[in-house]
Amino acid sequence: MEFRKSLPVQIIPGVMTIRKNTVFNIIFAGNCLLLFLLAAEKYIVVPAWLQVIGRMHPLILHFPVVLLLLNIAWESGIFRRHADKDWYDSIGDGLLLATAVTSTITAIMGLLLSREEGYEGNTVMLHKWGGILLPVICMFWYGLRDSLRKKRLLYFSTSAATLVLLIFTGHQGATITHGDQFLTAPVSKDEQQQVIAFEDALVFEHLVKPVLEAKCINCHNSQKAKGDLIMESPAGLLKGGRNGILWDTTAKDYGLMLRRVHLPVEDRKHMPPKGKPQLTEEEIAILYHWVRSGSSTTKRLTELDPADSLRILAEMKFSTPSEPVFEFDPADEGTVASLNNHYRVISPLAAGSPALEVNFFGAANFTPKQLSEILPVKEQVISMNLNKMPVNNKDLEVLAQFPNLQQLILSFTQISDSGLAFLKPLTRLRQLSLSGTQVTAKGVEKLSALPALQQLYCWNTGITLADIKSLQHRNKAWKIESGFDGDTIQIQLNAPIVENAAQVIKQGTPLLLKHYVRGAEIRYTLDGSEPDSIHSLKYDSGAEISSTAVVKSKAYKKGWITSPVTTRAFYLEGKRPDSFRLASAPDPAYKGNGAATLFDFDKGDLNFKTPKWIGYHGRNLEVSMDFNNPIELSSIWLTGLVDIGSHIMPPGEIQVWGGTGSKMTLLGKLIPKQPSKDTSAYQTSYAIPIKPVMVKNMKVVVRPLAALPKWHQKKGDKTWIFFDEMFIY
Amino acid sequence: MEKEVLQHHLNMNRRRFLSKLSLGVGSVALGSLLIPDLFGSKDHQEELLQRLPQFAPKAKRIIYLFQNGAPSQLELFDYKPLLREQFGKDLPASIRMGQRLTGMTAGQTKFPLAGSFYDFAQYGESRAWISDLLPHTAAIADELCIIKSMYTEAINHDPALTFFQTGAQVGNRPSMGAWLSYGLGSENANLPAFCVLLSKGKGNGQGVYSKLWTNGFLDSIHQGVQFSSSENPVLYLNNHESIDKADRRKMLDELAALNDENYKTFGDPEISAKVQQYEMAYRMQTAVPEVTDLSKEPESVIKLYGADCLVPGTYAANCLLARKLSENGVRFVQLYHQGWDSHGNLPGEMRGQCQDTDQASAALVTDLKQRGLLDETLVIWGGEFGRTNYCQGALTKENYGRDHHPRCFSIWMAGGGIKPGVYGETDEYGYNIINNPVHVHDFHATVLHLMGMDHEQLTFKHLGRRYRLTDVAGKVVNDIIKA
Repeated sequence: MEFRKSLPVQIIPGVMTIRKNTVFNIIFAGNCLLLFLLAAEKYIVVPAWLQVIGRMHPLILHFPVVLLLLNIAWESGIFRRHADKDWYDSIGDGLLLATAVTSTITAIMGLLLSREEGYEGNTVMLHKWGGILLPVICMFWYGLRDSLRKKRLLYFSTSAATLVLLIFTGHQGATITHGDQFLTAPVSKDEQQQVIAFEDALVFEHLVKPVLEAKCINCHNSQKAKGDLIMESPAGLLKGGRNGILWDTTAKDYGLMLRRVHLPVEDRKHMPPKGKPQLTEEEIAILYHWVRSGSSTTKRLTELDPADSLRILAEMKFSTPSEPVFEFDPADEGTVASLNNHYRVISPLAAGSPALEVNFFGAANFTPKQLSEILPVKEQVISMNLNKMPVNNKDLEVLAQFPNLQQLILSFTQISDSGLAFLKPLTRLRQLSLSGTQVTAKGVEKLSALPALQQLYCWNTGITLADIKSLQHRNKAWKIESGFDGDTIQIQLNAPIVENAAQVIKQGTPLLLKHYVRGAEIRYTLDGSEPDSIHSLKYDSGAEISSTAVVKSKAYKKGWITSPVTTRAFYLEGKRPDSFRLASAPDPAYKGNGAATLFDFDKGDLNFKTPKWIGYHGRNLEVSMDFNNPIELSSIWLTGLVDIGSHIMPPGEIQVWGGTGSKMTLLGKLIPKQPSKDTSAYQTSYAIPIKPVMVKNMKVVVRPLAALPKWHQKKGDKTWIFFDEMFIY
Repeated sequence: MEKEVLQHHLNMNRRRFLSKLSLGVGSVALGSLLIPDLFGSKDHQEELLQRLPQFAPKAKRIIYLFQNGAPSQLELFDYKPLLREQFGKDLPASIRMGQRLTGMTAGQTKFPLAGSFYDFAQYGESRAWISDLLPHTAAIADELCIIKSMYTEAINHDPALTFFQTGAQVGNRPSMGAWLSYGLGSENANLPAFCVLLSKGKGNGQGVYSKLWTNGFLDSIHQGVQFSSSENPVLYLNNHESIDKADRRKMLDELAALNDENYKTFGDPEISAKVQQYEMAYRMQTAVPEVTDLSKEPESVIKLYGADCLVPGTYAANCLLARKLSENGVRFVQLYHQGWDSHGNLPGEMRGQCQDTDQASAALVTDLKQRGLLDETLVIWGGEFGRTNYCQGALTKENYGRDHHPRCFSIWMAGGGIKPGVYGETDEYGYNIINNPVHVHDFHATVLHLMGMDHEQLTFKHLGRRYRLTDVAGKVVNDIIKA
C-alpha cells in the first residue's frame, strides 16, 4: 500500500499525536470563544475588518459540511475492508479534528455575520443555535472517539443526530440566503398565479402589496424586522417602526417612507438600501399615489376615478398580457386529429393549450351530425363558429352539452327564439353572436339566465333599438351590439354603367346599361338632357340606339339618393369615302394610321398617345375625300380631344368644302366654343350641319387656335389639335 | 432510363440528403434526449410544423388595407395648426436637421411650409384629431388605434413598400402574409391562407408587384393568391363547359395516381405538394363561388360599404370581399389601393382618394364588429411612408404637393386585441417624432404578437442562417395591445 506510506501520520505517529493535541486545544479555546461571543452577543460591536471575515461565512461553511459527512461515513467503517485498524483510526482522528476546527471557525464567522443589521427572526435564531451546537458536538465526539468506536449503538445515534442537525442547520441557513420555500418552489403546485381581473382587484391587496412584497418585506418582516418595522400587514404598516410612523399626508414629502424612498441611492438612509433590488419608477409612483390618496387598504380599483393616477397606473399593470388558464385536461391528440376535416377545423387555442376552437366552413357540407360528432371533446371546446351554417333550433340542444363554451357565433344561422332556451346550461358563455338570425327580444330575454354573458351581437335581427334599451336596462353586464341600421340612412346610388364597348354603332344596336344594386331603376335620355324619374325613358333590356346620340342615364331606388349621371356619346357609322388623303402629315409623334385613323370607326379614349388619334401642332389638318358615286351630304361630325394641360385645345375653325366636279365650294363651317380655365380633359364632337347637297369630292380643313389663351400657363404658345374619327352623314 | 436516374440524383439534392441523414443519426442517438441541440434534431422549424400560435392569440385573422403611394398624414390624422400659421415660411433648419430628402425636392432652394387645406375636428373618447376628408373613419374613432409615430428607413416607394411587406428593402424575403401562412397555416383548407386584392384610385399612382406577396424562400404554398378585379375573382377556376364535376373528380384521381407513381420513383416532395394544390383547387371550385357571392348580402351591408361595393375591382368591393374571405378563415387578406402619391395637386387628389376609400374602410370595421368578428380580426390601414410638411412645386392656398417623408406618418389599427386610442406624437411641425416612435420592425413584431407568435421565434433557416420577418430588430408595442 504505497499511498499509506506517504502519509505523515504513519511515518511519525508521535509527532502527530502532539500536533493533534495542540489542535484539539485550539478547538476547545475556539468553542469557549464561541460560547462567550454568544453570551456577550448584545454588547459586541463588530469592527469593519471583522465584518469581512464574518461575510466569508457562506463560503467557509461548505468545508465542515463536507468533512462532517465524510467523517460520519468513515467512522461507520465502510472504507475499512482489510485496512489496518490503527491506520484507519488515525485517519479518522484527522477527519474528526478537521471537522471540529472548520465547524468552529465557521460558527464564529456566522456569529460575527449575524451581528450585522438585518439578521433577526426565527430562522436566524434556529440557524445560530444549530451552528453552535455542531462544533460543540464535534469537539466532544473527538474527545470521546475511542469509546464511540467501541460501542456501535452509541456511534450510530451520535452520527444520526449530528446528520439531522447538520441538514436542519444547513437548510435554515439556505432559507436566510435564498428566501422561504426556495427549495420546494419548483415542485409546489399551489404557487400558480391567480389571475385577478381589473374589476375584482383591490388597491392595497393587488397593487401596493405586491410592491412591498417584492422590495421591502425581505427585511421588514416578523422574522427580520429591521428598524422594528413589519410591513407584512396593514396593521404593521400603520404602526410604523423605530423611527416613527410611515406616512403623513400633511407633510410636504408625505412622511418617512416616501422621504427615504426619494433619497439618493448613495444616502445611508435611502430605502431600499444600496445593493438591494431598487424600486422601479412605476413602483415608486404606485406608493406615492397610494399614500397621497389616503392609503386605503380596502378600496377597489374600480372605485377610483378614471382620471386618477393610481387607476391609470393600475390599468397599465393589469394590461400585462397573461395566458388564459383552463381547469380541464387536454383532449386526446388522436381524437382531435380524427375529428378534423376540410369543413370542420378543430385546433388548440395555442401550442400546449388544452382549449379547443371549432370552425365550420362550407355550408353545403354541414349536417347536424357534424356537431354531435365532436361531443367526445366537449369539455375542451371553448369557442365555436357556426357562421352561415344551416344550424337550426334542434342543433342548439347539442351545443348546450359543451360546458366550457365561452364564445359562440351563430350569425346567419336558422335559429329562432325557441332555440335560445337550450343554451341555458352554457354557464361560461361570454360572447354570443346572433346577428342575421330571426331571434327577437322575447328569445334573447331568456339569455338573462346565462351568468357569464358579456357580449351580445344582435345586428340584423328582429330586435329593435327600443328592445336593446330595455334589455340593456335589465342586464347591466351585457354589451349589446346593434350594428349598422341601413333603413334609417340614405346614401347615394352609384352611376349606371354603360356596357356597350363600341361607341360607333350600327342602326338598332342594343343599349346595354347596368346597375349592380338590386332593384335599382335606370332612366335615360337620348337628346343630351338630364334624365328625371318621371319623364325619361325607363331602361329595359330591349332598349336600342338608332342614331348618333348622347345617352345620359341615372339610377333610382327607394331609400337611396338618386345616382349621379352617366354620359356616353354614340355615333352612327357614317358613309366611308372610297379614297382619302391628308394634305400634310400629322405630327410624327402622333401620326396614328394616317388618314385611315379618321375612318376606322374605332374611337380613342383620353390617352392621346395611342394610334387611335392623329395630332397636329400649330398646323392645319386638311383631309380630302373622294366618292366613286355621288352621295347626299347632310352633316359632318368630327370627334376630338381637349386636354388643356397638354395644350390640346378645340380648333379655331372647321370648314367643309365639297362639289361634284373639280371645283369645290364651302358648304359649311364651325367656330367651336373654347373651354374655361379649369376644365379637365374631355372628349368632344364638332357637328357641322350642311344644307343637303350631292357631293363627289370633299375637303375638311381644321385650323387650330392661333395661340394658347391668356389664362394658360404657356399663353401664346402654339396649340395642338387631336382627332380620332370623322362621320359623314 | 439513364435520364431518369440523373433526374433522381438531381432531386436528391445536398440539403435534403444531409437533413435526411441527420434525422437518421439523430433518432438513434440517445444522447440527443439529454442534450436536445446535440444533433439539431428538434428545430424551431420542426416545431413550427405544428402550425399553432405559440401563445393564446388576440387576433386570428388580418385584413391589411394598404394605401399604396403614401397618403399624407398631414391632411388626415396628424393635425398641425402651426403649418397653417406659418404658411409659406421656410422649414427651419433646426427641424430639418439636414436629414435626407428625395431627389425630387432636394434641389428646391426653399421648403415652404404648407398647412392642410382641409379642416380637422376631434372625435371619440380619445379625442383623436381626424380630417374632414374622413367622415366615416371619424365615426368609428372609438374602434381605432391611430399611431401617429410610425417611421421607416426607405424614402422611395418600391423599397418602402417592400420593407413594409417583407421586413427588408430588397425584394427576396417572404411577405408578412407568407410568414403568417407559414407560422399558422390555413384556417380553411378550401381557400388560400393569403389572398391579395388590388384596386386603383384616380390619384397619382405607384405600381404594385407580385414580389410584395411573394413566399420568398418559404414553400410556394405560402405565396399570396392574387384575386382578379373582374367579376370572376379567381381566374380559370370554373370547369370548362364540356367538363362536369364528376369528370373533374375522375380526372384528378387519375392524375393523382400517376403523380403517386412518379413520387414513388423520385421521392420529390414537390410532387405531393402539387397533388395537394390540385385538390385544393378542386375544393375552391365550390368554396370560392360561395365566398364571392354577393347576392345574399343584406341591403344594409350594401349601404354600409357604399353602392360601389358591388362593382368588381373597386376598393369598396375589395373591402367587402376581404370581409367575406376573412370570415371564411383566410388568415391574411392584403388589399392595395393605388393613387396616394400626391406630389402635386394634393388637395384635389386626396379628396378623390378619400371618397373612394373612407366609407368602405370604416364599413369593414363596423361590419366585422356587428358580426362579433372584430375582436378576432385585426384591421390595418396605412401607407408605406408619410409626406413632407413643406410643399413640393408651386405653393398656393388652394393647391400644393408634398414629397415623400419617412420620418413620421400615421396608420391605424382596429380590432384583434388592439387598444383604441392615439399613440405617439410628432413635433409641432409634423416633421420628427417626439414621443413613442414605432419602427416598421416594431409594427411587424406587434402584429405577429397579436397573432400569437413571438417574432423572435418565427424563423426559417435559409442559406445558412435563420431569417425572421423582423430580421434582427423589432419590439412589441405593448402599449397598444388590449389586456
